[in-house]
Amino acid sequence: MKKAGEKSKFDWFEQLNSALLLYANGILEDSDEAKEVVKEVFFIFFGEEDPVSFPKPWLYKKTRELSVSRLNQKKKGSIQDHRQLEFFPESKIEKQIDSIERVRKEDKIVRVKHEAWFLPEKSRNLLRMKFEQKLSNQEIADQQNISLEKVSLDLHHLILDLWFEWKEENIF
Amino acid sequence: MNEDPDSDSRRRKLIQYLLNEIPQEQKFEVEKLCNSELEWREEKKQIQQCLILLEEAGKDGFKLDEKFLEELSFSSEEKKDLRIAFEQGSMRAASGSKDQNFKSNEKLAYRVPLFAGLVSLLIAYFGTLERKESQKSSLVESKQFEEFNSVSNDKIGPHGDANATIQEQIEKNGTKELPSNEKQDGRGTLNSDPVKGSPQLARPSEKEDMKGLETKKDLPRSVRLGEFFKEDSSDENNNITENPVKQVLDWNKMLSNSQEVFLHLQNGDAMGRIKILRSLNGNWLIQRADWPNRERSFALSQGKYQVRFVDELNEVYLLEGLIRKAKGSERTEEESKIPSYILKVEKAWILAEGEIRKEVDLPSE
Repeated sequence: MKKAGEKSKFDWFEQLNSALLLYANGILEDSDEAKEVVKEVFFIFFGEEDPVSFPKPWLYKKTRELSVSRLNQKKKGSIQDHRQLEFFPESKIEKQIDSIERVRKEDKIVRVKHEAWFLPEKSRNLLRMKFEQKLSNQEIADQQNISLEKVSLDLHHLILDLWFEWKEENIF
Repeated sequence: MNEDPDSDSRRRKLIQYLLNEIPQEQKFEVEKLCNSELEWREEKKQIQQCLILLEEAGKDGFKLDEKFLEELSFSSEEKKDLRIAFEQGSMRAASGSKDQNFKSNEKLAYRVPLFAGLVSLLIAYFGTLERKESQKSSLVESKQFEEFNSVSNDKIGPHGDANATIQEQIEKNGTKELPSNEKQDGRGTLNSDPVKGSPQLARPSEKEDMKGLETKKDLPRSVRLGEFFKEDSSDENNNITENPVKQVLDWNKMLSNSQEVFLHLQNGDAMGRIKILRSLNGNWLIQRADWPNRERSFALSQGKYQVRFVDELNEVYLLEGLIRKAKGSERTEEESKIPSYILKVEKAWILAEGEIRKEVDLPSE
C-alpha cells in the first residue's frame, strides 16, 4: 500500500518525463531517439515487479544507459559501413568515436546541469552563487540576507542530496 | 536519504573539509580519519567528485535552453497513450503474470499492439478467396512437378520440406505481385504487365495496345529454335502473332548477357534477381543474386517459377519452369558457397508489341 507522501509511478512520469527527454537528447542529439529512449525507460519502470527504492536515480541511470547504448550502436554501424563501403573518410570515423568518448566524460556534467536546472529556484541560485560566481558562504549570506549558518546548512544539505542521488546512479 | 546520524555527521564534516570551511586543526582530524577509516576515505573521494562536477558544471552557468526544452516534450496525446500502456505494464507486474519472456522482451512491450495490428492487416489481406484459388492451381501444377522429379531422379535434400513450408509462409506474406490475371494463369496472359515488380523491364508506351485482349488464350508453340517468330498458321487461336522473323536464339548468350534476370513465383510475387551460372544438360544452374524481401526465406523451395529478362536487343523474355535444389554433383565448390538451384524451363515467351506473349522454343539440351 502506498504510504502518505509516497509518489506513484505515474507521479514520477509526470515529474520527470520532460527532464529525462532533455537528458537523453543531450546524449543522443536526436529528439526522436530521445523520446524512444524515455518511453522505453518508463515501460521498464512500470514493468518492474520489485519496488524501485530510489526512482529518480534509477530513471536517470536507465536513461543514460539506454542512450549511450544507442549511441554505441550508431558507432558500430558507422564503422561497419566504413569497412564495407570504404566510403567514410578515416577522420570522420575517428571524430565519431571521439564524440562518443566525450559523451561519456561530459555526460556527468550534462547530468549535473540537468539536475541544477530542475532544482527549486532557491537551491539553483545557491548552487550558482557557490559554483558559478564562486562566492564565499559569507558573501552568499550577505547577499541573501540570511545567516552564515543557514547558508552552510542549506548548502551542505543540497550537496548531500545530490551526492546521494548521483551515487545511486553510479555517476562516481 | 535514509542514513544514520553518524553517517550524516561524517558527510557534513567531509563537505566542510572539502569546501575549506573548517579550521586547520579540524582538517588534520578529518585527514587522520580518512587515512584510518575506509568509509571516511571512500566517501571523501565521492563527495570530492561531486564537488568537482558542480564546479565544472558551474563554469558555464548551469544553463539550459528553455526553447529546446519546450520542443522536447511528449504531447498530451502521447502522454495519454503512454499512461494507458504503462497502466497495462503495471497491472502485469502487480498480478505477477510478468514472466521471464516479458522481462527479456520488455523493450518491445509497447510495440506489441503495433505488430498485432500489422499481422491482422496481413491476414485480412492475404486470407482472400483469390489466395485460395491460387493454391488450387498449384495443386494441379504439382503433378507436373512430380514428373520432373521422377525424370531427374533427384532427392530434394534435407532442407527440402522445411524450405517448402517456409516458402509457403513467404508466399502468404508476399507483397510484390504481378497483375492478378497472371496469378490465375501464369502462362498465357496476353494483357498483363509482366514486368510489374521488375521496373527495369517496363514498357509503358505499349500499354495502350493491350486493350481488348483480355479474352485471348495461350498462344501455341509457334516459334521453333531457328525460326523465331515464325507463325504457326494451323493454330486457330494464333490470331495475334506477328510476322515471323528468322532468328537463332542463343539462350546461353542471351541469359549470360542479360544484366537483370528476375524470378517470380507462380502467383506473380517478385522474388528478386537471380544469377544464371551456366547451362546444364538443357537446364540452368542458378543462384539468387539479391534478397529484397527479408521477410521471405532466402532458400527457394522446389516448385514452379517464372523468370523474366531483357536481352541485348531490349526484348523481354519470360520463362516458366521448375526449380529444384542443385545436387552436389551438379555444382562446383565455388558454386556451393551459396545455395544453387536447377531451373528446368518448360515454356518460353517473348514479349512482342502490345505486350503480347509469343511462345518461343525452349533451350535445346
